[in-house]
Amino acid sequence: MTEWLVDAHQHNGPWPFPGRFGDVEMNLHYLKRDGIRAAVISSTEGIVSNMTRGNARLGAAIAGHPELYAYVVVNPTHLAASCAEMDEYYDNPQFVAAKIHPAYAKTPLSSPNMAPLIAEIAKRGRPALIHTWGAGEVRALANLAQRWPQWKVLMAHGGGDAWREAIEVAQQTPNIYLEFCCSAVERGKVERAIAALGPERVLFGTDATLFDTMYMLSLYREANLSPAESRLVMGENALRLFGLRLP
Amino acid sequence: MQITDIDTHFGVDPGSDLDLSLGNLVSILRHHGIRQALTHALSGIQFDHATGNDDTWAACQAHPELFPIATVDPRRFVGMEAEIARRAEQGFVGYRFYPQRQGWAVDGQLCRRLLQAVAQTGKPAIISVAGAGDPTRLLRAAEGLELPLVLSGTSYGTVGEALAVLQEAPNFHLQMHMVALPFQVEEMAAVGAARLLFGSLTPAHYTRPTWAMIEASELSDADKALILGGNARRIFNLPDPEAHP
Repeated sequence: MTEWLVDAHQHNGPWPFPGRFGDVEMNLHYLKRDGIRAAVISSTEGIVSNMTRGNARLGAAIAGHPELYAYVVVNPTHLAASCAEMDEYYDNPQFVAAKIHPAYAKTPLSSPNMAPLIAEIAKRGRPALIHTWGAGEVRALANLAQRWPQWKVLMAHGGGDAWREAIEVAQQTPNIYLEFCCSAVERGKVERAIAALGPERVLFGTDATLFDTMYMLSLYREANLSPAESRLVMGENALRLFGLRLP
Repeated sequence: MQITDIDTHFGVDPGSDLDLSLGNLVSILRHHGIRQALTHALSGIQFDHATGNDDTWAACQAHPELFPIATVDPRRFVGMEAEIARRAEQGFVGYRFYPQRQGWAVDGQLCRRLLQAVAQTGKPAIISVAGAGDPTRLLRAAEGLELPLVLSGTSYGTVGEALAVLQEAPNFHLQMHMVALPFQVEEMAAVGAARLLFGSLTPAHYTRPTWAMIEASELSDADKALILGGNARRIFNLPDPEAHP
C-alpha cells in the first residue's frame, strides 16, 4: 500500500443515522489512524442545508490544518450566491475545488439550471466533485463534461448502482475521473475501472465522516492493486487533480 | 478467530456480469480464510425454489465448508409449506427469504404462512427488510412466533429502525453488512453482541469492508468472535470448524 494516501471525498458534520459524528477532529482522527496524508472535505451542512454557513464553518474548522483541503459547496438553485462563494473561497489555498450534490439541490444534472453553474466552475479553472447516482445522472454528467472538455470532474460514488455505465462513459470522456465510496460494495468496480481507464483516472475516496475511512480502505485493499496502481489511485492522482501539496 | 459468513450465494444472475460461480465463491472464501459459510443458489431465488434448493444441496455436499440455506418463493403458494418441511428434514440449516426482490409483502398473509411453517421446523430464517418500515412490518408478521429471525439488507438509512425492532423482539437478530458509519458497530452492539451476525454477500460483494469494521471496533475480542462466527454457529447449529476441517 502506498504511503501517499489521499482521500478525495470526505465530509464534515453530523448525519441523521446511528453512528457517532464529530467535527474536524474526526477527520483528523481518521487521517492519523489510517495514515492518510491529506483529505479534501465538503461541508455536510453546506450540502444538506445552508451552503453559505456550511462553507464558512468548514473554512474556519480546517484553518491551521494544512493536511485538510476543502471543496466549496455550490448549488445550481443559488447560482449567483454560488459564484460569490467560489470567488470568496478560491482565494484561500485550502479550497481547491467545487462540490455539487444534485439530489439535495433538487436539480438533476440534466436540468437546464445545471449547465450555467458548470460553466462558472469551468471558467474558474477548478475541478469539481459531483454526487452521481444512477445511469441517467451518469450520462448527464458525461454530456456536461464533454461540453467543457478542459474542465475536470470527479464522479462521486462512481455512479453508485450505475458503476458499469460510469466506467463506460469515462472511457469516452477523458476529463471524467472516478471514485467509488459507497455503502453497497459490489465486487470488481475498482478493478474494472482501472482496467478500462488506466490507473490515472481512478481515485481513493471514503465519504468520511459519514463513513469510517476503514470501510472503503478495506474495499480498495481487497481490490489488490499493483504497487504502481496503488501509488496513483490511493494518492498521487488526487495530488495532481487538485494541485495539493502534502504538509 | 473463526469466521462464519451467513450470507453467500452462487449461480447466475441475469443482471450481473460478475463471476458468481460456485468455484469463485469457494476460492474467495479460501483466500480470506473463511472456513464456514451459509450459502444458497441464485436459481432458487430467481427461477424455481425446488431446483435452487437441489442446487444448494449438491454444492454443499461437494464443499463441506458450505452449509445449505433453503429458500422458498411464497408467490408459488402451492406446496410452499411442504417444501419448507422437506428441506428441514433433508438437513438444511435454515431459510433465506427475499420479499423485496421477489415482490411480495412482509406484512402479507403469504409471509405470515411462511414464517409459521418455518417455526414448525425449529430452524432460523434470514429475511431481507431493505425498505423503510419493513423491519416494523416483519415484527408484526412474526408476532407470537418464537423462531429465530435474522434481519438482512438494512442500510445506514434503515438500520436504526431495525435496532428499534430488535429492542422489542428478543428472537430477532441483525445481519451485519454495509456497516460503514463511524462507530456503527458499537451502536449496533448496544442491543447485545449475541444478536449480530456477519454476512458479506460474497461473491457479488467485496468480503472485507464490514468484517474490517468489526475487527477495528472497540468491542471486546469475545464480542467480535460472537459476531464474526460464534452467533452463527449457535443459531444455525453448525459444528465447530476446528472439529470440521
